[in-house]
Amino acid sequence: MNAGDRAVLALRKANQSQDDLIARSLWLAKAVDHVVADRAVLVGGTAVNLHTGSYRPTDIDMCAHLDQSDRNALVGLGLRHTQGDHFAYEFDDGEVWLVEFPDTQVDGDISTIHLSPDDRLSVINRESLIVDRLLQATDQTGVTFDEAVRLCVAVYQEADWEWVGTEIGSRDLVEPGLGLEGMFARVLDEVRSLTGS
Amino acid sequence: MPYFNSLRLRRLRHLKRMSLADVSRTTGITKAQLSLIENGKVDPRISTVVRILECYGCVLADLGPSRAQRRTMGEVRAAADSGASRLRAAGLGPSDPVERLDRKDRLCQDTTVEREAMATRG
Repeated sequence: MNAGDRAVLALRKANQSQDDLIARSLWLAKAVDHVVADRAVLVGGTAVNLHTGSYRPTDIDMCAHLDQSDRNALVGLGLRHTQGDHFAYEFDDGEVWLVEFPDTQVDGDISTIHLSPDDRLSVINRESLIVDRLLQATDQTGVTFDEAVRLCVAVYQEADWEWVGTEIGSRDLVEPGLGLEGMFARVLDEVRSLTGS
Repeated sequence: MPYFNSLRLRRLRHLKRMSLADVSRTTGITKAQLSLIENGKVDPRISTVVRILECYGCVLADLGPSRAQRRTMGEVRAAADSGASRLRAAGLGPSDPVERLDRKDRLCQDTTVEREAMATRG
């Protein structure tokens, strides 16, 4: 079976996962990954939803380098090209999902989800996702702060906070103006207050 | 896509306060090639990455411990359920996509397509 056939099969599984947000998002992402030459890595809100179960993403963000043949392949798969590296896919039940490629590579480490024996999807890993959300929170809007807190509460018991702290420390040395360490401390204070830990 | 976090390699260079030219002079790797490596455009040999790291006084492990995690769909679902349950216990409701789109609007980002797509979902 070639990549195109595998993509069609993945898309079929996404279509069949009508009431399962996680399965639908992962199979749609896998369909995209099958037709894009570079490895496509799931990032952003859909990745957050895998840990919080309550993010309700408005789009699927993936990191991969796209060239024109990739864009053509995505359109060939049934996605509509909207603008730049943004696409839309309409499921059989009428739901429209957006697929966007905000970056060519992931600023973090990658984990793998085994969707089936033959289908593996690359996803930004938990600790790198925490760093990513903390970086977003440095925009000082309440919304991004709340989202960072939400993710940290959801994974508080499992996350490797020592690793997160070290990673943030190294980034803060390079870009001290961002105030990433301060944001990390604020978010952790809020998480401890909410979880009573 | 490279097998290591190339952006972390760039951060190490910044931490050492070195320019691409400095690294090029020490390692013999051209600035253009170094830039491609740091931007994840090429998959360098491990020996090349090690040579760059030596220039910073670092070793492969300094590119960060591997945080690789492998999960099955069942484990992903269990983690999402557990996360949602912890959020409820902490008194936090589901994330509000409208609030997030409003923030994008305030940043002058066009959210028309996202709002249209959201309207199609239950």
